[in-house]
Amino acid sequence: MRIMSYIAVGALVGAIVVGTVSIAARAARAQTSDGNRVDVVSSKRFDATVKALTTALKREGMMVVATIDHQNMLSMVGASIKGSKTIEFGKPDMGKMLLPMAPEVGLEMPGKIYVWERGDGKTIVSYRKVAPLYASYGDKKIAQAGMMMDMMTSKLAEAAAKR
Amino acid sequence: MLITVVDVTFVLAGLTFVTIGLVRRKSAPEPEPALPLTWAELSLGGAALVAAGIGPNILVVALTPGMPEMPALGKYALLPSLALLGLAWVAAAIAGLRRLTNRIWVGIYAGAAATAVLDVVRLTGFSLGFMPGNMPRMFGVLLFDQMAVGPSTISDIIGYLYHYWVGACFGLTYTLMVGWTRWWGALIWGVLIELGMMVTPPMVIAMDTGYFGLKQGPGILIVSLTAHVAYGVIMGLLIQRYVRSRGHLPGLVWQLLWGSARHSVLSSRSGKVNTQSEI
Repeated sequence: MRIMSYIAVGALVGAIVVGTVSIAARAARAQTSDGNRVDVVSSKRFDATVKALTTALKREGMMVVATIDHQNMLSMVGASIKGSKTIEFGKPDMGKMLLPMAPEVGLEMPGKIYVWERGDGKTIVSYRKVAPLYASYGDKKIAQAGMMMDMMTSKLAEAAAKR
Repeated sequence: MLITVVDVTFVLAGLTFVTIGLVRRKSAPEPEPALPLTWAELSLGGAALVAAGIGPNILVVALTPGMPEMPALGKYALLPSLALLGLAWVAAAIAGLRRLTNRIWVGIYAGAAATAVLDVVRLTGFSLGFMPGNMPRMFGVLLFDQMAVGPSTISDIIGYLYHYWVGACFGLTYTLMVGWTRWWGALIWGVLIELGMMVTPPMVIAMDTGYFGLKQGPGILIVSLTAHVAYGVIMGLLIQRYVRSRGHLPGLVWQLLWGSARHSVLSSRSGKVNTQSEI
């Protein structure tokens, strides 16, 4: 009986430790600053994170539609800021499927991920969840596409941020 | 980095050309008197003047709302204008129009070289935060249509080439229109360019500086005016040394037209006299 209670306490402590570590690790990777914004702390430096993101995009069959290099762009007007790039990406198939059905969904396309350097030197991969926006069009297929987009963006952000 | 290697390279190259020009002729020789203009010189000079007008104005057009963008204007206006100027120059050389060829090369040389002096003031002002942007880098980005990714070394080089070409065009316009003057003539031209720049779309709308840059304080106007004064003075010193002859275009054109009109009146009169004597 005593042995059983030791085992139960041990399991409980173990579960608490594992849970705490897991929550802490998750908190380091993904913090939701507001309802829809997700910030993932990268374990890599800025340039390596951007490279990992573009590699992940290609691996997932996504196309980089545009890269906006805020840091380089602003150097022309005398502003010296830390690394910050917006990567816009999409899958032509998705547009092909959605836009003929509901052209107004084009407002939410393409997807974008923002990679930026925080004051403490950490690189952050940020994006917004688009599922609520897609769902607002009142069509099941479009709503599903939004959820798929969020899953894909989350996967990409994790791939960019992981060691 | 706010000031790039391309910035420094172009400025140093330009300053070298200025130094060579001033050292080679330490004092300005007495200019030759104005010779009468010919129709061939007027036509080729007019073509060169059109070409010189296109360089700076494509930027004004591109940044005016509703107008074509820089990549298209660069391809369909700037490049043809370079070809036009080249043709006018070669034709003038073949036709032995010494005055025109002299004014073309001196205008381009003096205008482009003096731009380096302008850049010394401009880049200093930019580093101190008085200027709204590093304009040649923006020209490159606009010409390559790569605003999203920002400037690259290639776009910086092309932007600087365009910037120096604009300086050359202003020099060319001056030498074609005015010919030989003392240095302060080009100083007035520099101030006029400054005034033009401060009320046209590239600064007023695109850089959002307002008229005369005053929307963002007096810094822009002070730096820009100083830069254009320096540009005008150096260009004037080079023009005074290297343009060979006096004679401004309006005066020469007037002389040409008046001379043609007089000639035709005289020949019609002599024709009448001949006809009467034949009768």
